[in-house]
Amino acid sequence: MTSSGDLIHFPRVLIESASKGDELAFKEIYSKLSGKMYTICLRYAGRMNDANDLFQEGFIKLYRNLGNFRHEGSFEGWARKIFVNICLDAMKKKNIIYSEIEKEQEPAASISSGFDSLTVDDLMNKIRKLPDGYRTIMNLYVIEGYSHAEIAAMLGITAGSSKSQLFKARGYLKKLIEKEDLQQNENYS
Amino acid sequence: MKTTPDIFEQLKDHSTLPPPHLFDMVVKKIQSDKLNGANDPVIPTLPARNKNVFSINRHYWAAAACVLVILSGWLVYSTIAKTPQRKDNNNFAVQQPGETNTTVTNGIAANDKKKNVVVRNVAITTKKQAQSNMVWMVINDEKIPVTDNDLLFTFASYLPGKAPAFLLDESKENIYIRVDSYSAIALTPEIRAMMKRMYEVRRNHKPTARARRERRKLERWKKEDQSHFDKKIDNNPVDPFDLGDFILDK
Repeated sequence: MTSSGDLIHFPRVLIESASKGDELAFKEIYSKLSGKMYTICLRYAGRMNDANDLFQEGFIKLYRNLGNFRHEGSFEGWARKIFVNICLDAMKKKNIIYSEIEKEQEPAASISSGFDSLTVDDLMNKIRKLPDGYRTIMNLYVIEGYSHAEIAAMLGITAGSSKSQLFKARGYLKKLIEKEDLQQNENYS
Repeated sequence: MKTTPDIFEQLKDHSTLPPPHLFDMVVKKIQSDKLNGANDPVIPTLPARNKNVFSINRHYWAAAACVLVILSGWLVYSTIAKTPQRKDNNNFAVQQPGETNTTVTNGIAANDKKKNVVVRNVAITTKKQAQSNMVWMVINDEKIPVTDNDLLFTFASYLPGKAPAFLLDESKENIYIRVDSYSAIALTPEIRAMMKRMYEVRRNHKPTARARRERRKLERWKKEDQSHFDKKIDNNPVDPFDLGDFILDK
Protein backbone atom coordinates (compact mmCIF):
# COMPACT_ATOMS: atom_id res chain seq x y z
CA MET A 1 0.00 0.00 0.00
CA THR A 2 1.22 3.45 -0.82
CA SER A 3 0.20 6.95 -0.04
CA SER A 4 0.46 10.02 -2.20
CA GLY A 5 -1.17 13.40 -1.74
CA ASP A 6 -0.73 14.83 -5.24
CA LEU A 7 -3.39 14.83 -7.92
CA ILE A 8 -2.39 12.64 -10.83
CA HIS A 9 -2.03 14.46 -14.15
CA PHE A 10 -3.85 13.03 -17.12
CA PRO A 11 -2.98 14.49 -20.53
CA ARG A 12 -6.01 15.50 -22.54
CA VAL A 13 -4.93 13.40 -25.49
CA LEU A 14 -4.83 10.32 -23.27
CA ILE A 15 -8.41 10.81 -22.12
CA GLU A 16 -9.62 11.56 -25.63
CA SER A 17 -7.89 8.48 -27.05
CA ALA A 18 -9.40 6.30 -24.37
CA SER A 19 -12.83 7.78 -24.99
CA LYS A 20 -12.49 6.80 -28.65
CA GLY A 21 -11.82 3.19 -27.69
CA ASP A 22 -8.00 3.12 -27.51
CA GLU A 23 -7.34 0.23 -25.13
CA LEU A 24 -3.74 1.20 -24.39
CA ALA A 25 -4.84 4.65 -23.32
CA PHE A 26 -7.53 3.17 -21.13
CA LYS A 27 -4.99 0.81 -19.61
CA GLU A 28 -2.76 3.74 -18.72
CA ILE A 29 -5.66 5.58 -17.12
CA TYR A 30 -6.50 2.41 -15.22
CA SER A 31 -2.97 1.95 -13.97
CA LYS A 32 -2.79 5.55 -12.76
CA LEU A 33 -6.18 5.64 -11.10
CA SER A 34 -6.82 2.12 -9.90
CA GLY A 35 -4.98 2.43 -6.56
CA LYS A 36 -6.86 5.47 -5.32
CA MET A 37 -10.20 4.32 -6.67
CA TYR A 38 -9.82 0.88 -5.14
CA THR A 39 -9.15 2.52 -1.78
CA ILE A 40 -12.40 4.46 -2.12
CA CYS A 41 -14.30 1.26 -2.83
CA LEU A 42 -12.70 -0.49 0.13
CA ARG A 43 -13.46 2.42 2.42
CA TYR A 44 -17.13 2.51 1.49
CA ALA A 45 -17.84 -1.17 0.99
CA GLY A 46 -15.88 -2.56 3.91
CA ARG A 47 -15.75 -6.09 2.56
CA MET A 48 -13.27 -6.89 -0.18
CA ASN A 49 -15.71 -8.79 -2.38
CA ASP A 50 -18.14 -5.88 -2.39
CA ALA A 51 -15.27 -3.48 -3.04
CA ASN A 52 -14.18 -5.55 -6.05
CA ASP A 53 -17.68 -5.39 -7.52
CA LEU A 54 -17.94 -1.64 -6.98
CA PHE A 55 -14.47 -1.13 -8.45
CA GLN A 56 -15.38 -2.96 -11.64
CA GLU A 57 -18.69 -1.17 -11.91
CA GLY A 58 -16.92 2.15 -11.36
CA PHE A 59 -14.37 1.61 -14.10
CA ILE A 60 -17.01 0.48 -16.57
CA LYS A 61 -19.04 3.59 -15.84
CA LEU A 62 -15.91 5.74 -16.10
CA TYR A 63 -15.09 4.20 -19.49
CA ARG A 64 -18.61 4.82 -20.78
CA ASN A 65 -18.54 8.44 -19.67
CA LEU A 66 -15.02 9.40 -20.72
CA GLY A 67 -16.47 11.37 -23.61
CA ASN A 68 -18.49 13.47 -21.20
CA PHE A 69 -15.43 14.76 -19.34
CA ARG A 70 -15.13 18.45 -20.20
CA HIS A 71 -11.46 18.97 -19.30
CA GLU A 72 -12.47 21.86 -17.06
CA GLY A 73 -11.34 20.40 -13.75
CA SER A 74 -9.24 17.57 -12.42
CA PHE A 75 -9.83 14.24 -14.11
CA GLU A 76 -9.03 12.46 -10.87
CA GLY A 77 -11.66 14.49 -9.03
CA TRP A 78 -14.19 13.64 -11.73
CA ALA A 79 -13.33 9.94 -11.52
CA ARG A 80 -13.48 10.06 -7.73
CA LYS A 81 -17.01 11.43 -7.93
CA ILE A 82 -18.08 8.57 -10.18
CA PHE A 83 -16.72 6.01 -7.75
CA VAL A 84 -18.17 7.72 -4.68
CA ASN A 85 -21.58 7.88 -6.37
CA ILE A 86 -21.41 4.20 -7.26
CA CYS A 87 -20.51 3.37 -3.66
CA LEU A 88 -23.35 5.53 -2.37
CA ASP A 89 -25.81 3.87 -4.74
CA ALA A 90 -24.73 0.51 -3.41
CA MET A 91 -25.18 1.75 0.15
CA LYS A 92 -28.66 3.06 -0.70
CA LYS A 93 -29.62 -0.36 -2.02
CA LYS A 94 -28.81 -1.79 1.40
CA ASN A 95 -31.54 0.41 2.94
CA ILE A 96 -29.41 1.53 5.84
CA ILE A 97 -31.35 3.24 8.62
CA TYR A 98 -29.71 6.47 9.68
CA SER A 99 -31.16 7.23 13.09
CA GLU A 100 -31.24 10.66 14.70
CA ILE A 101 -30.25 11.42 18.30
CA GLU A 102 -31.58 13.96 20.77
CA LYS A 103 -30.24 17.49 20.64
CA GLU A 104 -28.39 17.37 23.95
CA GLN A 105 -26.33 14.49 22.63
CA GLU A 106 -25.54 16.31 19.41
CA PRO A 107 -21.84 16.02 18.71
CA ALA A 108 -19.37 18.80 18.24
CA ALA A 109 -18.34 18.70 14.60
CA SER A 110 -14.74 17.84 15.32
CA ILE A 111 -12.75 14.70 15.09
CA SER A 112 -10.62 14.89 18.18
CA SER A 113 -7.33 13.27 19.04
CA GLY A 114 -6.77 9.57 19.67
CA PHE A 115 -5.59 8.71 16.20
CA ASP A 116 -1.96 9.73 16.69
CA SER A 117 -0.68 6.22 17.20
CA LEU A 118 -2.41 4.86 14.09
CA THR A 119 -0.93 4.36 10.65
CA VAL A 120 -3.02 5.06 7.57
CA ASP A 121 -3.43 1.34 6.94
CA ASP A 122 -4.58 0.78 10.54
CA LEU A 123 -7.13 3.54 10.23
CA MET A 124 -8.32 2.14 6.92
CA ASN A 125 -8.87 -1.27 8.47
CA LYS A 126 -10.74 0.26 11.40
CA ILE A 127 -13.02 2.25 9.13
CA ARG A 128 -13.76 -0.87 7.13
CA LYS A 129 -14.95 -2.52 10.35
CA LEU A 130 -17.53 0.18 11.06
CA PRO A 131 -21.22 -0.60 10.44
CA ASP A 132 -22.46 0.50 7.01
CA GLY A 133 -24.24 3.70 8.09
CA TYR A 134 -21.39 4.92 10.30
CA ARG A 135 -18.84 4.10 7.64
CA THR A 136 -20.70 5.96 4.91
CA ILE A 137 -21.08 9.16 6.95
CA MET A 138 -17.50 8.94 8.25
CA ASN A 139 -16.21 8.66 4.69
CA LEU A 140 -18.33 11.47 3.35
CA TYR A 141 -17.83 13.94 6.18
CA VAL A 142 -14.35 13.30 7.49
CA ILE A 143 -12.53 12.06 4.42
CA GLU A 144 -14.35 13.50 1.40
CA GLY A 145 -15.09 16.75 3.24
CA TYR A 146 -18.81 17.11 2.49
CA SER A 147 -20.98 19.13 4.88
CA HIS A 148 -23.85 17.57 6.81
CA ALA A 149 -26.32 19.42 4.59
CA GLU A 150 -24.68 17.99 1.46
CA ILE A 151 -24.62 14.49 2.93
CA ALA A 152 -28.27 14.83 3.88
CA ALA A 153 -29.13 15.74 0.30
CA MET A 154 -27.03 12.90 -1.13
CA LEU A 155 -28.46 10.19 1.08
CA GLY A 156 -31.99 11.51 1.42
CA ILE A 157 -31.72 11.90 5.20
CA THR A 158 -31.78 14.89 7.54
CA ALA A 159 -28.67 16.81 8.53
CA GLY A 160 -29.44 15.79 12.12
CA SER A 161 -29.24 12.11 11.18
CA SER A 162 -25.93 12.73 9.50
CA LYS A 163 -24.53 14.43 12.61
CA SER A 164 -25.89 11.68 14.77
CA GLN A 165 -24.30 8.96 12.65
CA LEU A 166 -20.98 10.78 12.73
CA PHE A 167 -21.15 11.07 16.50
CA LYS A 168 -21.82 7.37 16.87
CA ALA A 169 -19.22 6.46 14.26
CA ARG A 170 -16.57 8.43 16.12
CA GLY A 171 -17.44 6.68 19.38
CA TYR A 172 -17.42 3.30 17.69
CA LEU A 173 -14.08 3.99 16.05
CA LYS A 174 -12.54 5.04 19.36
CA LYS A 175 -13.82 1.89 21.01
CA LEU A 176 -12.25 -0.18 18.27
CA ILE A 177 -8.91 1.57 18.76
CA GLU A 178 -9.05 1.24 22.55
CA LYS A 179 -9.98 -2.43 22.28
CA GLU A 180 -7.03 -3.10 20.06
CA ASP A 181 -4.68 -1.14 22.33
CA LEU A 182 -5.91 -3.19 25.27
CA GLN A 183 -5.30 -6.43 23.41
CA GLN A 184 -1.81 -5.32 22.48
CA ASN A 185 -1.03 -4.38 26.12
CA GLU A 186 -2.27 -7.77 27.30
CA ASN A 187 -0.05 -9.47 24.76
CA TYR A 188 3.01 -7.54 25.99
CA SER A 189 2.33 -8.15 29.72
CA MET B 1 -15.40 24.36 12.34
CA LYS B 2 -14.35 20.93 11.25
CA THR B 3 -10.99 19.74 12.47
CA THR B 4 -9.62 16.47 11.24
CA PRO B 5 -6.32 14.85 12.10
CA ASP B 6 -3.82 14.69 9.24
CA ILE B 7 -4.21 10.97 9.08
CA PHE B 8 -7.71 11.39 7.62
CA GLU B 9 -6.33 13.74 5.00
CA GLN B 10 -3.70 11.14 4.14
CA LEU B 11 -6.39 8.49 3.89
CA LYS B 12 -8.17 10.51 1.23
CA ASP B 13 -5.22 10.12 -1.13
CA HIS B 14 -4.25 6.67 0.05
CA SER B 15 -3.66 4.16 -2.68
CA THR B 16 -4.29 0.43 -2.43
CA LEU B 17 -3.43 -1.75 -5.38
CA PRO B 18 -6.44 -3.77 -6.53
CA PRO B 19 -6.12 -7.49 -7.22
CA PRO B 20 -4.54 -7.91 -10.69
CA HIS B 21 -7.40 -10.00 -12.05
CA LEU B 22 -9.80 -7.05 -11.72
CA PHE B 23 -8.33 -5.30 -14.75
CA ASP B 24 -8.96 -8.35 -16.92
CA MET B 25 -12.50 -8.53 -15.61
CA VAL B 26 -13.11 -4.86 -16.36
CA VAL B 27 -11.73 -5.19 -19.89
CA LYS B 28 -13.68 -8.40 -20.46
CA LYS B 29 -16.90 -6.73 -19.34
CA ILE B 30 -16.28 -3.69 -21.53
CA GLN B 31 -15.54 -5.87 -24.54
CA SER B 32 -18.58 -8.08 -24.03
CA ASP B 33 -20.76 -5.00 -23.70
CA LYS B 34 -19.14 -3.57 -26.81
CA LEU B 35 -20.15 -6.66 -28.75
CA ASN B 36 -23.69 -6.08 -27.57
CA GLY B 37 -23.35 -2.41 -28.53
CA ALA B 38 -24.24 -1.36 -25.00
CA ASN B 39 -20.98 0.01 -23.73
CA ASP B 40 -19.52 2.23 -26.38
CA PRO B 41 -17.92 5.35 -24.97
CA VAL B 42 -20.32 8.22 -24.85
CA ILE B 43 -18.92 10.89 -27.14
CA PRO B 44 -21.09 13.98 -27.27
CA THR B 45 -20.47 14.93 -30.87
CA LEU B 46 -22.92 15.63 -33.63
CA PRO B 47 -23.61 12.82 -36.07
CA ALA B 48 -22.04 13.22 -39.50
CA ARG B 49 -24.23 15.04 -41.96
CA ASN B 50 -24.93 11.95 -44.00
CA LYS B 51 -26.33 10.14 -40.98
CA ASN B 52 -29.91 11.25 -40.67
CA VAL B 53 -30.47 9.61 -37.34
CA PHE B 54 -32.18 11.62 -34.65
CA SER B 55 -34.00 9.69 -31.98
CA ILE B 56 -36.66 11.77 -30.25
CA ASN B 57 -36.91 9.25 -27.41
CA ARG B 58 -33.17 9.41 -26.64
CA HIS B 59 -32.91 13.17 -26.97
CA TYR B 60 -36.21 14.17 -25.48
CA TRP B 61 -34.89 17.32 -23.89
CA ALA B 62 -33.15 18.24 -27.12
CA ALA B 63 -36.40 17.82 -29.02
CA ALA B 64 -38.12 20.14 -26.56
CA ALA B 65 -35.28 22.63 -26.95
CA CYS B 66 -35.57 22.36 -30.75
CA VAL B 67 -39.21 23.37 -30.59
CA LEU B 68 -38.31 26.32 -28.38
CA VAL B 69 -35.57 27.43 -30.72
CA ILE B 70 -37.92 27.11 -33.68
CA LEU B 71 -40.33 29.27 -31.72
CA SER B 72 -37.59 31.82 -31.21
CA GLY B 73 -36.75 31.61 -34.92
CA TRP B 74 -40.35 32.40 -35.76
CA LEU B 75 -40.22 35.31 -33.38
CA VAL B 76 -37.17 36.63 -35.21
CA TYR B 77 -38.88 36.14 -38.54
CA SER B 78 -42.02 37.81 -37.27
CA THR B 79 -40.11 40.87 -36.05
CA ILE B 80 -38.61 41.24 -39.53
CA ALA B 81 -41.97 40.90 -41.23
CA LYS B 82 -43.73 43.12 -38.71
CA THR B 83 -46.95 44.82 -39.82
CA PRO B 84 -48.78 47.82 -38.26
CA GLN B 85 -50.51 47.25 -34.93
CA ARG B 86 -54.23 47.01 -34.31
CA LYS B 87 -55.94 47.90 -31.07
CA ASP B 88 -58.92 45.58 -31.08
CA ASN B 89 -57.43 42.51 -29.47
CA ASN B 90 -57.55 42.53 -25.70
CA ASN B 91 -55.95 39.13 -25.11
CA PHE B 92 -52.51 39.92 -26.46
CA ALA B 93 -49.56 41.61 -24.87
CA VAL B 94 -48.28 42.22 -28.42
CA GLN B 95 -50.97 43.23 -30.88
CA GLN B 96 -49.95 42.73 -34.45
CA PRO B 97 -52.46 41.61 -37.06
CA GLY B 98 -51.33 39.13 -39.68
CA GLU B 99 -51.16 39.19 -43.44
CA THR B 100 -54.47 39.23 -45.23
CA ASN B 101 -53.81 36.50 -47.75
CA THR B 102 -53.46 33.60 -45.31
CA THR B 103 -56.56 31.47 -45.43
CA VAL B 104 -55.92 27.88 -44.57
CA THR B 105 -58.25 25.31 -43.13
CA ASN B 106 -56.55 22.53 -41.31
CA GLY B 107 -58.15 19.36 -40.02
CA ILE B 108 -57.01 16.98 -37.35
CA ALA B 109 -53.92 15.06 -38.39
CA ALA B 110 -55.70 11.79 -37.85
CA ASN B 111 -54.07 9.99 -40.75
CA ASP B 112 -50.55 10.53 -39.46
CA LYS B 113 -48.74 7.21 -39.70
CA LYS B 114 -45.65 8.07 -37.65
CA LYS B 115 -45.18 5.75 -34.69
CA ASN B 116 -44.34 8.30 -32.02
CA VAL B 117 -46.83 10.91 -33.08
CA VAL B 118 -49.73 11.41 -30.72
CA VAL B 119 -52.43 13.47 -32.26
CA ARG B 120 -54.78 15.18 -29.85
CA ASN B 121 -58.17 16.39 -30.84
CA VAL B 122 -57.00 19.86 -31.77
CA ALA B 123 -58.56 21.09 -34.94
CA ILE B 124 -57.20 24.36 -36.18
CA THR B 125 -58.79 26.61 -38.74
CA THR B 126 -57.36 29.91 -39.76
CA LYS B 127 -59.40 32.28 -41.82
CA LYS B 128 -59.50 35.92 -42.71
CA GLN B 129 -62.30 37.98 -41.26
CA ALA B 130 -64.25 39.69 -43.96
CA GLN B 131 -63.85 43.23 -42.72
CA SER B 132 -60.47 43.28 -41.04
CA ASN B 133 -56.89 42.26 -41.57
CA MET B 134 -56.91 39.95 -38.53
CA VAL B 135 -56.42 36.23 -39.15
CA TRP B 136 -58.31 33.92 -36.86
CA MET B 137 -57.91 30.27 -35.98
CA VAL B 138 -60.41 27.93 -34.40
CA ILE B 139 -59.09 25.40 -31.96
CA ASN B 140 -61.60 23.13 -30.24
CA ASP B 141 -64.36 25.56 -31.15
CA GLU B 142 -62.49 28.42 -29.53
CA LYS B 143 -61.95 31.37 -31.87
CA ILE B 144 -58.48 32.75 -31.40
CA PRO B 145 -56.85 35.64 -33.24
CA VAL B 146 -53.44 34.92 -34.78
CA THR B 147 -50.84 37.52 -34.00
CA ASP B 148 -48.55 38.46 -36.84
CA ASN B 149 -49.74 35.43 -38.81
CA ASP B 150 -47.51 33.39 -36.53
CA LEU B 151 -48.92 30.62 -34.35
CA LEU B 152 -45.92 30.21 -32.08
CA PHE B 153 -45.54 33.93 -31.59
CA THR B 154 -49.24 33.99 -30.80
CA PHE B 155 -48.89 31.32 -28.15
CA ALA B 156 -46.17 33.28 -26.40
CA SER B 157 -47.97 36.62 -26.55
CA TYR B 158 -51.06 36.26 -24.42
CA LEU B 159 -51.73 38.51 -21.50
CA PRO B 160 -51.36 36.79 -18.11
CA GLY B 161 -54.31 34.50 -17.43
CA LYS B 162 -55.70 34.82 -20.97
CA ALA B 163 -54.00 31.83 -22.60
CA PRO B 164 -56.33 29.25 -24.17
CA ALA B 165 -56.93 25.99 -22.32
CA PHE B 166 -55.26 23.62 -24.79
CA LEU B 167 -51.98 25.51 -24.39
CA LEU B 168 -51.96 24.77 -20.68
CA ASP B 169 -53.06 21.15 -21.03
CA GLU B 170 -51.27 19.03 -18.40
CA SER B 171 -51.37 15.71 -20.26
CA LYS B 172 -48.10 13.90 -20.92
CA GLU B 173 -48.62 13.62 -24.68
CA ASN B 174 -47.48 15.89 -27.47
CA ILE B 175 -50.17 18.01 -29.03
CA TYR B 176 -49.68 18.37 -32.76
CA ILE B 177 -51.18 21.25 -34.63
CA ARG B 178 -51.30 20.60 -38.34
CA VAL B 179 -50.39 23.76 -40.22
CA ASP B 180 -50.53 22.36 -43.74
CA SER B 181 -50.05 19.03 -45.49
CA TYR B 182 -46.33 19.00 -44.80
CA SER B 183 -45.81 20.71 -41.50
CA ALA B 184 -47.10 20.56 -37.99
CA ILE B 185 -46.22 22.26 -34.74
CA ALA B 186 -45.59 20.00 -31.77
CA LEU B 187 -46.47 21.35 -28.38
CA THR B 188 -44.57 19.06 -26.04
CA PRO B 189 -45.60 18.61 -22.39
CA GLU B 190 -42.44 20.56 -21.42
CA ILE B 191 -43.39 23.51 -23.60
CA ARG B 192 -46.94 23.47 -22.26
CA ALA B 193 -45.61 23.26 -18.70
CA MET B 194 -43.44 26.28 -19.42
CA MET B 195 -46.41 28.14 -20.90
CA LYS B 196 -48.45 27.26 -17.83
CA ARG B 197 -45.76 28.68 -15.59
CA MET B 198 -45.42 31.73 -17.83
CA TYR B 199 -49.13 32.53 -17.65
CA GLU B 200 -49.54 31.96 -13.92
CA VAL B 201 -51.30 34.84 -12.17
CA ARG B 202 -51.83 35.87 -8.60
CA ARG B 203 -55.28 36.57 -7.15
CA ASN B 204 -55.04 40.16 -8.38
CA HIS B 205 -54.46 38.84 -11.92
CA LYS B 206 -50.88 40.07 -11.99
CA PRO B 207 -48.20 37.62 -13.18
CA THR B 208 -46.47 35.65 -10.44
CA ALA B 209 -42.72 35.92 -9.84
CA ARG B 210 -42.29 32.54 -11.47
CA ALA B 211 -44.26 33.69 -14.51
CA ARG B 212 -42.02 36.74 -14.86
CA ARG B 213 -38.97 34.53 -14.49
CA GLU B 214 -40.20 32.21 -17.24
CA ARG B 215 -40.94 35.21 -19.47
CA ARG B 216 -37.39 36.48 -18.92
CA LYS B 217 -36.07 33.03 -19.73
CA LEU B 218 -37.96 33.01 -23.03
CA GLU B 219 -36.66 36.49 -23.83
CA ARG B 220 -33.13 35.33 -23.07
CA TRP B 221 -33.50 32.35 -25.40
CA LYS B 222 -34.87 34.64 -28.03
CA LYS B 223 -31.84 36.92 -27.74
CA GLU B 224 -29.43 33.97 -27.91
CA ASP B 225 -31.27 32.68 -30.90
CA GLN B 226 -31.12 36.05 -32.61
CA SER B 227 -27.43 36.45 -31.90
CA HIS B 228 -26.74 33.03 -33.42
CA PHE B 229 -29.03 32.95 -36.42
CA ASP B 230 -29.13 36.59 -37.42
CA LYS B 231 -25.39 37.11 -37.70
CA LYS B 232 -24.83 34.62 -40.49
CA ILE B 233 -27.25 34.17 -43.31
CA ASP B 234 -26.26 30.50 -43.72
CA ASN B 235 -27.40 29.66 -40.18
CA ASN B 236 -30.92 28.47 -40.74
CA PRO B 237 -33.07 27.77 -37.65
CA VAL B 238 -35.21 25.23 -39.48
CA ASP B 239 -32.20 23.22 -40.66
CA PRO B 240 -31.87 20.38 -38.13
CA PHE B 241 -28.06 20.44 -38.37
CA ASP B 242 -27.75 24.18 -37.86
CA LEU B 243 -30.21 23.83 -35.02
CA GLY B 244 -28.25 20.91 -33.59
CA ASP B 245 -25.03 22.95 -33.80
CA PHE B 246 -26.74 25.77 -31.95
CA ILE B 247 -28.14 23.56 -29.19
CA LEU B 248 -25.13 21.32 -28.65
CA ASP B 249 -22.59 24.14 -28.81
CA LYS B 250 -24.16 25.58 -25.65
